[in-house]
Amino acid sequence: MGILHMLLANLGAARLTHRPAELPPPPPGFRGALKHAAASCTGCSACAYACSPGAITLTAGSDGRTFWNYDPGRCTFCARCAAICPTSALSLEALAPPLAGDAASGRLADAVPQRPCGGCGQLFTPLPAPTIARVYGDLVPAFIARNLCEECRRHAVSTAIKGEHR
Amino acid sequence: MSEWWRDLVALLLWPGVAAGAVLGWLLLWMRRKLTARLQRRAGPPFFQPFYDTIKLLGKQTVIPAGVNRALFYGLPLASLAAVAYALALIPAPLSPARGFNGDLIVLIYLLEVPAVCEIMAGFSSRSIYGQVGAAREALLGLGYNLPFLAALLAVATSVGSFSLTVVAGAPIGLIHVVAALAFLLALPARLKSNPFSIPNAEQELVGGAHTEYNGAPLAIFELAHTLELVALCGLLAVLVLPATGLPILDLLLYLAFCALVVAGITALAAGTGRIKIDQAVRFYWRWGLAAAGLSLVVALW
Amino acid sequence: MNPFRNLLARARAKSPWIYCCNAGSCNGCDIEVAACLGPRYDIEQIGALRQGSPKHADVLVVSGPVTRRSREALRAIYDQMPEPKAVVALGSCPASGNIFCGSPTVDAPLAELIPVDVYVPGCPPRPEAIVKGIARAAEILAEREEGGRR
Repeated sequence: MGILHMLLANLGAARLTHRPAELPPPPPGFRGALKHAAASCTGCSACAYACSPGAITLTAGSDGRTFWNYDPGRCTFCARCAAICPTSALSLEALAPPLAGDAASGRLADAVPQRPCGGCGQLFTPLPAPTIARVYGDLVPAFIARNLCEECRRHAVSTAIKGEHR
Repeated sequence: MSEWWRDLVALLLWPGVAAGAVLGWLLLWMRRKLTARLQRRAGPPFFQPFYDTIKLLGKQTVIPAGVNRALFYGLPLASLAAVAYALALIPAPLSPARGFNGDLIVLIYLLEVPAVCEIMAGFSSRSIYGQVGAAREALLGLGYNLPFLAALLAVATSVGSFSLTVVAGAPIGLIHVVAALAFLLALPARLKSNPFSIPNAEQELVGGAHTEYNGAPLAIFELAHTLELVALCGLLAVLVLPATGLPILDLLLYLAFCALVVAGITALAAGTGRIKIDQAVRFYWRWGLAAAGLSLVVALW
Repeated sequence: MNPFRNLLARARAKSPWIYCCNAGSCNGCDIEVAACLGPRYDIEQIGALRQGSPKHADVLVVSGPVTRRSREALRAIYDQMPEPKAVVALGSCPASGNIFCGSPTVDAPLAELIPVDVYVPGCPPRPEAIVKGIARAAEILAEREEGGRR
């Protein structure tokens, strides 16, 4: 008679079903749609290296700019790209990625920022401020480090170190 | 001269196709909603069976290669026509039709037609699932018809007439209780609901005899099954319920009784699994035979 | 637009019968579809029923990449479904093949074999996203009826 008790209990109990509108949001830490902060991207390709399905690729544009490309149709939402990104430019928001009508929608192509160096004038990709603070500390003033390409930055840092020890 | 339009109203309006379809959709919604409640689910919205039928009527009909077109379209229509006439014969409260002597026999024949159409549909559909489903339906028919026919014949014998109006109007006695029990024993198998859903075993036989049916023919078949549900519940109601003086009260009792029977069938279906065809037939040849024997003994006593 | 077409469009939106086809998936998406049939997400509340025969279905729900073995079967199932029909691609495998792209036995993407109407991203997508995807496919069937195409 166990099934009879179960049926009677179910008849009196409330339904377990959530109406689509009243579903609770995904829990924190849920790996949903990928967000890319292009201002913090340095084009290092670590994310493309870490991505197993090849959803992230970095391509060269016709004008010499670098493009960060993402295809949610190939993404496994494993977040290894976000874990490996040195400048924390990638994050997965805790919301389910939206439905798509065709395979191409939702694809992203962000240009990696580039500007001429304050020292030598060559085009370079600036490091984001948190990375500079973490790497250089207060050896070199931040606004100088942000405007210099890697060569000029190295030169400025070594000058600052030699200057301190004199 | 005025008789034929009464019968036409009975066929098309009440208790025929129109009222049968509406009542059937209501009972079908009740079945699905109650099943969902018993599984702690929300279940479908109120007009779901109606929308299902409309949607199916609007779909393209794909006839498998080699299947006889006349059979494919004709069998659902034959099934629907038979059940509609059976509904019209039942002396429901406020029914405009006048019965005739022997209409119980005609009713029995008409109620066998949907099962025969189902079997023919399965065999003619050139699908292995359809053929196995049809074979199982035929075997199960050998089982459930025993208590079903015995119940009806016992009541007719005890009352002494084969006219449905006379049988329905007879005072309630022991024979009605015994016959109702035998009828209820046969009912789950007639409706192909658990534990006797073996002819259209969804996970095993894909769709049973209906596997290759689609579009409007499938809609007509489903409508015929819905009307069959109403006809069987209505038949039991007119046999078992005593006639009160007021027709409106009779009608309310009739509808409430149909709902009660459907609720019972649904609870049984939600609480049981499916038994195999040999187990089902053995069940009916043991307990169905006992019920049939008992009802005939009580009738002749 | 005459009232019959209105009613038919409404009926198509309210009664999407689904047929689930596993073209070669890891079963992750199929397990989430099984959750959709359970009490918590219950697709019956949007009128959807899981059918065993493709002839009874309106919406084909495909999970997994198209493999060499399942290609012909998938095509046959799609062809057997009566019009009007819609296709929902679950997860990233039918959209692109995911990590199986480039394998000699995988013929991704699904759109090269049959026309796809809704992509539900995720690996696997959450059951509520699957329910939303099926509801969107039902809407598309209704929109097609209202737009005059069958």
